Amino acid sequence: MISHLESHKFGSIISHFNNASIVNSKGELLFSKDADPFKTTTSRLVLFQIAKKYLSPSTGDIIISNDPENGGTSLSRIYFISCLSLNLFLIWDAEFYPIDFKIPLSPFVENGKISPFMKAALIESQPNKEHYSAFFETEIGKFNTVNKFKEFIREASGEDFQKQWFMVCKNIFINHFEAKAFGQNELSYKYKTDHLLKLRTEVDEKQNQRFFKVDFSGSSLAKPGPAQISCASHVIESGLIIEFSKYYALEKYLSQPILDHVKLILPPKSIVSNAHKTGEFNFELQKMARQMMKFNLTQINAQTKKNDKKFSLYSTHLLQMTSGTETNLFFLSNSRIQFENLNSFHQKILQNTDGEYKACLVYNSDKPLTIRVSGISSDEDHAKRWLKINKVPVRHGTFNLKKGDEFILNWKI
Amino acid sequence: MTDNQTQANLALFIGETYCEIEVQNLDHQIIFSKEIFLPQITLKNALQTTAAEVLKLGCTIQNVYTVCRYLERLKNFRLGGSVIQVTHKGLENNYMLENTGRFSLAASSLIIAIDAQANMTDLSEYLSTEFDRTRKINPEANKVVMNLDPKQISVAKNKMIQKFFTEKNFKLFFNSTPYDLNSIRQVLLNAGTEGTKEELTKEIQDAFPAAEILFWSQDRFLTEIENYQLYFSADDFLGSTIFADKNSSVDKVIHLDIENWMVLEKSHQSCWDSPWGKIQRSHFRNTPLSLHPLTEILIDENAFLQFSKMPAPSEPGPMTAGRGVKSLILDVFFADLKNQALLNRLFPALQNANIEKKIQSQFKVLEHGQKTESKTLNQSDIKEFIQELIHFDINRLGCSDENSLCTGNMSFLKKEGSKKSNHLKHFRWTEEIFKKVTEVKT
Repeated sequence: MISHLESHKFGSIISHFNNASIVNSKGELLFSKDADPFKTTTSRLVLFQIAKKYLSPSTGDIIISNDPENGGTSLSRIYFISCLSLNLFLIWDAEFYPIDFKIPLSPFVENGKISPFMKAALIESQPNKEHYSAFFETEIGKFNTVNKFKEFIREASGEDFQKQWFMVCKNIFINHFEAKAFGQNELSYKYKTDHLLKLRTEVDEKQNQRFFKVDFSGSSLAKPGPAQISCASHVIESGLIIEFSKYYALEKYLSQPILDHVKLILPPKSIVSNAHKTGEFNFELQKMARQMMKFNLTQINAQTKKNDKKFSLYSTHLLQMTSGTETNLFFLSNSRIQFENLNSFHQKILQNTDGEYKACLVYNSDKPLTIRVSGISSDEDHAKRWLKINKVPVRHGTFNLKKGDEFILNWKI
Repeated sequence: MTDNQTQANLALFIGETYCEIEVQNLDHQIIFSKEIFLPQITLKNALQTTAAEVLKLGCTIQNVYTVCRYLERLKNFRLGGSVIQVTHKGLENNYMLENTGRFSLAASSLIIAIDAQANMTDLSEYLSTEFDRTRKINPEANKVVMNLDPKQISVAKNKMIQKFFTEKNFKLFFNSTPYDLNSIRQVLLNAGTEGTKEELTKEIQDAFPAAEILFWSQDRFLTEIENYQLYFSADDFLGSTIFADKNSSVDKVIHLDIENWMVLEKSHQSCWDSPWGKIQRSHFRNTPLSLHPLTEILIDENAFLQFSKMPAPSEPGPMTAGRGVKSLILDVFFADLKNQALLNRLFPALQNANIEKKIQSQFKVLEHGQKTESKTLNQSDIKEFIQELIHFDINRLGCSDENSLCTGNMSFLKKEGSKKSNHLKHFRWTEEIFKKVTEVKT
């Protein structure tokens, strides 16, 4: 008889990964983890289904892909779909910034060995092949670590184990919601002047079954061509599921029985359901959907009158700073700031007074730096949170810095 | 020292929760040894008692060889409440921006941000006014970090500021690279930890006034050691002890004791990702296991049995120690702890039948408090689960009988592998300390 404490074992075996899911052969989610600011839970599940349908991975195989228009999210985020046993699969994703080309769904490791064709095409042909090789070796090493848990893999592959685990998760879900509120809330947000995001969240019970309905009907359609601002539906779903499980403290038990209680409606061809070829707007649309979802859940569960609180979007950014072969990330939200590395900047100003961070950083290297800015730059938030490069406000896009250029920020948390 | 007194040395391990003391004469004979659980007897009392016993034996302590893990206690706290920081305007708290999720190392309200271009008179007046302001915030502040770039401030102004604080009996700490966030953190940590280190050394000095106090750092005992180095004293010592043999295939230590469950690896990391942010300090790679011996076992709001996210504070400790009221992981292993001689000395309450009953009834309460359709977990289930999870963690971290040893006073938790004979290593801090002292001398 297994218990809810099994989540610790799942957690232990995938602790080397930032983002990973374990599923059975039907694609039913057993356990999941998402530690990056950008969430990919559903993207992994979608890619599993595609990989299973077209490539049927066997034990010891790893399939890779990064195609943002086919289950992936951006060229630099590589998805790995691996087979631990005939009824247990591990899917994970990791960023590797040098990759700027599409990798269609391809068998990378077959029966424990890297495919010679893939090695030649993907690694050996690159000018910085050592860098590529190190990345893929690290990822395969992580898979091998999980594969050492033979006994647990055998046990968790069993239908009996999975049935019991799903029952445990379902019971936890039911227990969590016994005292939670029913209701609904609708929120519309005008984004970039001519894009409307409309989100209706409903918590209800029918035939003793609690369910959650998240509906984006009424959101703007994506505009084709260079002005296209949209993302794939799995990008939005990943964000919503994480927000939902976080709000109801179900993260450790996020699994199929819980997903089965969430109904998502994302109208086809709308801005929340139309993949962008590079995934340029994934982070900001996911963040926006999460903020709206959190607002709706808070409103449904609020004790006070629902009209009292107005939705206000907060700014959040993910900056990818690339110089040569090195990429550092910089994340800013309403609650935290995190730089990976400030070594190539001279600090003209870098101060924190009462939670208000001000920085004027002068780029101090001869190698040019590219900054890719994604995220939300909210007008309501503009007085307290903004970014500039050489005195020009920066909201979204790719910017080049040379020695002496200034990167300036003002950020209140 | 009187003519009829003989000299002896003392080995001291100061853990986060417990302490081991051993005295050997110069012929390496043990003349006194003691183990204490710190929440029950203070270090000061233990050292004073030891001093009295040693004196009765006609001995004087020559050297106190110390391995320290005591500063682990500070890892859950913001530091620097009594530390003034003098820095350049525009660089106030710059070290925080790299990761705002980390604890702060200095109180923002105690920062004196100066304009290094101001003339000497204005700077002096400004310093005086600002100092008065900080006095109102914390009159007890007695340490100052001079976080000033010598390229930006003249030698005369720098000296003036130093003199100002020296005259006010402040202890000065210097960082001449205020743009290097790692070095700022290192110096602030030195200042923020000063009080704790002073307290430790004073307690040792008071008990053994004639002794020289040495702390283990990296690969030797030193009389002078920067405070932040003390965070690594125990790991450095354990690594130096286990990985010393270059011909050995062992490159991992599974350390399981009453205050720390971890895997220490022979490979080094150059940077310490501390609770206060990154600090440059090469050290053996250390990975804590999923659970901590002081993790609390509780029933959550939905009536499910859970492990607390953070370990319980060392005070009052587990029920096993006598005064604790919460069920901690250590308490699950009450019966196993009873069989360990060292732990019986640390926890005399292990022999107390009432404590045993209290623990059993507490676990019954936990068992009956669970609301679950699948399985109610009793003490034996929890114990089995914890051991399984330890096994999971050490397996994940690449430990095998061939490449790892298991040490610590709870090493009985490690499941036996195929080579039963050599994966468990008898390890006692004080015994190993004396071995190291002998090694270095020979």
